Amino acid sequence: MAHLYKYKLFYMTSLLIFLLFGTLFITNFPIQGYLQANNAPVSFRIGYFGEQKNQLDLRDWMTHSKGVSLFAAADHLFEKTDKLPLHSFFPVFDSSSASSPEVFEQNYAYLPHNLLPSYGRSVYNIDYGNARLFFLDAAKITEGNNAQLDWLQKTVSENKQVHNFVLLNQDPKLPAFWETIRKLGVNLVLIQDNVYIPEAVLTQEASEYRATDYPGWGLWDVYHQFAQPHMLIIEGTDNNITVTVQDQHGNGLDQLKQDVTSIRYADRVNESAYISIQSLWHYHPGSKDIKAAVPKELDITGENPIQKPFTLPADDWRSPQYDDSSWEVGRAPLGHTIDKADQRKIQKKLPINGDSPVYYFRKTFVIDDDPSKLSNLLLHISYEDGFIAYLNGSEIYRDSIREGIVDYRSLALPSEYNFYNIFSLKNHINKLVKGTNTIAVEVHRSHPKAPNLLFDLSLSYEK
Amino acid sequence: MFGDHILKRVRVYIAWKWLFAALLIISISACGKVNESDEVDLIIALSATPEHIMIDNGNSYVWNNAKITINNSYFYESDMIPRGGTSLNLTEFSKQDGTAFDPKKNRLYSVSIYVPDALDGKPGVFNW
Repeated sequence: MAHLYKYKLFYMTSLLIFLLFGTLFITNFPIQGYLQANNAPVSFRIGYFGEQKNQLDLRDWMTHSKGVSLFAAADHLFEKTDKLPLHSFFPVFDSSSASSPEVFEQNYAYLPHNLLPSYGRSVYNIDYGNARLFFLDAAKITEGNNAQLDWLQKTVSENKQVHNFVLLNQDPKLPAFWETIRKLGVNLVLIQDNVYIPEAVLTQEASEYRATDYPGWGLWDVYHQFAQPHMLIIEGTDNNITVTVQDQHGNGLDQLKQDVTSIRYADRVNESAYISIQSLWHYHPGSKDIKAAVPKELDITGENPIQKPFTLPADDWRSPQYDDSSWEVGRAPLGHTIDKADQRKIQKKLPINGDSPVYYFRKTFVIDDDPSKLSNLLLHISYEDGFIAYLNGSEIYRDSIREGIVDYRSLALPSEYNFYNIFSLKNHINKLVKGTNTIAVEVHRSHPKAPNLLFDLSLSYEK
Repeated sequence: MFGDHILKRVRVYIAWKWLFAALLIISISACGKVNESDEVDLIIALSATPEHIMIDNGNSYVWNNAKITINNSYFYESDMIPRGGTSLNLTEFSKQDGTAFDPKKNRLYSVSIYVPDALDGKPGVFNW
């Protein structure tokens, strides 16, 4: 004890150092170079029943579904028995409900009431995880009656959620409705047994996915794809959504996926960009199987400038009509490198293509206003080594690559990594159209063995 | 007498010198290939990896319907070889019987390029 007392300062200092050192074992090192404030991803799982070819016992199905605690379906699909509806079931107001609204109010007394004045419980919204579900009365969405759309807009704007879903019993068939909800960032619409997805966020298509007449929207026709009883499982984790069709045994039959990061950050960070950085792109390695016509307007030697916009056939990969549904989708920056520090910049690692030094990229975007009123259009692009960009099938810019005709075998000029170089496209504003536009980019390496290829692009405008 | 002898030796020396010069000039001109007026030379930079051949078309025009032959027996035909660098996989070259070039078994030792209509209707050639 005398020993301890004699050297008390030494032992106290040692104890303090030991305690401080010990805290290292209960601390997460910032391996990525920054501390993540919230490591736990927000997730949810929702079950949805659409119109089916056979009668379903929803109550039985919901009771035996594991891992799903919230269900939705049209009111007429839920069999009314002496037992009250399950409180985990949220109905979509439909024609059977409209015939006896008082019964609807009585059966679903647990639903929010009069969120939209005078609509009772027929129109409401609920929050689940980081998703907000809007249940609307489609019969009352008409030209001249914007009450539900105005309410939707107000609710989405206040206390924003990552995901916004809209459920209706029928298609209002109003282009203005679809345009409004797309602008609001609604990323899923469920109508009977059909799933509507904004094309901008789709990362994996289902088998029966197709475009619709509503600009920017695609449709998964689940009703015609499956004859057997099925349920849609909508799973969300952070910015990602997976919609899976399951049979009664829980087997997955088909699915599609989406990622809403691009529309989330475009709204918050860069409101004057048609395409923001780190967007999703369709991509494909260069190949002789990917057609690229030689336009008559192009001087293949490159000695003379392009005088007129190109006219490309629909099977040309640069054409707005080209079907890139079979291409892979990835988030920019895309590419590959052997430099470990630069690897951290890449979000989607592309396989090194030994057959061609080229990768092709495509993306569509929608312009709501008249593009002729723009004062400037700017291309922000990261690339290595060289690129050529096309807007609606016409070349708009190239750098670090030879003039004239190029193809899937062409090599770029050697170039260091170009970090978001900015090029003015003011002279190409006339190539934009109101509605859906397509931008296509080919990125070339300078050598077939070159280890580096990099691509990201943003398209911004000034009014 | 003595001076005549020296003069004669000097004249012989000069004659041999001129003869040697003439032979030198003739031999130099004989080394060069006669420039055939019905062909143009293709301007090319060549490089290769074990699996690829890179051809840089340095001409001011695109080579249409180019036929490239490697090792005198493997062929590759292309509708168009653009200006600038083009990378071709050696496995795309094949013999007339369809046998593809195998980079693991074969090494590149000769390249020839023929463009039937290179410039002003004349064919373009290159040999290495």
